[in-house]
Amino acid sequence: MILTQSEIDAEVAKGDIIIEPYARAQLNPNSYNYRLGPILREVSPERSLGTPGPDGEAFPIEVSGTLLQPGRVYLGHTVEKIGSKKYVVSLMGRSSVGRLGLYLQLSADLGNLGDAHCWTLELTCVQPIVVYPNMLIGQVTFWLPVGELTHYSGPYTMHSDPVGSLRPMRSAE
Amino acid sequence: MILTGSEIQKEWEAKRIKIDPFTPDQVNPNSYNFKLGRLIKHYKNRVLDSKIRQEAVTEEIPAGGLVLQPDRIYLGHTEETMGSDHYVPIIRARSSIARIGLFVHITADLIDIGSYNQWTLQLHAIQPVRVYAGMLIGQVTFWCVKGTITLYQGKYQGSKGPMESEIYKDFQSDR
Repeated sequence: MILTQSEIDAEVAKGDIIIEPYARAQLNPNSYNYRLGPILREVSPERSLGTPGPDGEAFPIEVSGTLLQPGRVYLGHTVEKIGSKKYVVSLMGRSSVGRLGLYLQLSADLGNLGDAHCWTLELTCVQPIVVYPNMLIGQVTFWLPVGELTHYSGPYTMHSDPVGSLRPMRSAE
Repeated sequence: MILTGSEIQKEWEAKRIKIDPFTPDQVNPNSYNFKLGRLIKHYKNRVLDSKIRQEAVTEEIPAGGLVLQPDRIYLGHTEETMGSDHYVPIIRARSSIARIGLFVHITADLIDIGSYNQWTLQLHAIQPVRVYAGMLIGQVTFWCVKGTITLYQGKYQGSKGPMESEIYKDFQSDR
């Protein structure tokens, strides 16, 4: 079951859903709108080809707008720390952003039960697009699971800026 | 919880789900297949500034089909007007469409509860893809909710045909 607006609001008040900062105006009927954080990172070719090498340089999104180019993957992050140990988080774009051809996740919309953190976004665009820091860019939904709860304690929760892939690219993983 | 095909049909009959027109043949085991409507839009500008209203060009898909090019975002629409005050709809491509490299939404699969439209499809082809009006292009699923329901009253309510992004309005209200 997916949580409605009033249920998300009630669970935030109880502390069973963390959204920080939180603004009721960002609630939708069955999701919450999150904002694009001010830092982007380009994925370096070394990274995507699996050879040792640094991630692309992090750079700020200009207040006057930053142009993203097609054919590249940028890592961004949510302004908000978001998480829940009780509800499963799933992130998606807003349709207003999809209508401009900007992907927010690359077929990896599912979060784990666990601690709240800023979520890394995988941005890629179909046509060049200008984005702005703090723009309302995506939506997060909360889902009631069935079964005993175990919580994610992997490396991605420790970061609040865009995190590149931490997985060694081996076929076993 | 996701509704099964028979539950979708039952809830359509009970008018708790709107799918218009509705064809029982388009019901799947746990979703409903929707059709691509006849109008397609694309933006006049190559560079899309999210702060500025982007003008779009509308064309009708010809009988022989329309080839979508990979470097462009196209806005299509569902032939059906759909929505529900009781379930959350989530849309996606049919696997037959994905197998020819066509996205039908761009990370925006979630529909608000209480939103009734011909839903806008964000079409992106990885290779050139020819599409036809009336083709079965995607699927809608319906999901049970937990909590008191607040219905959608947003800016895209009631839209017919493809609707371009109105995100520029966010920046106006920020001022």
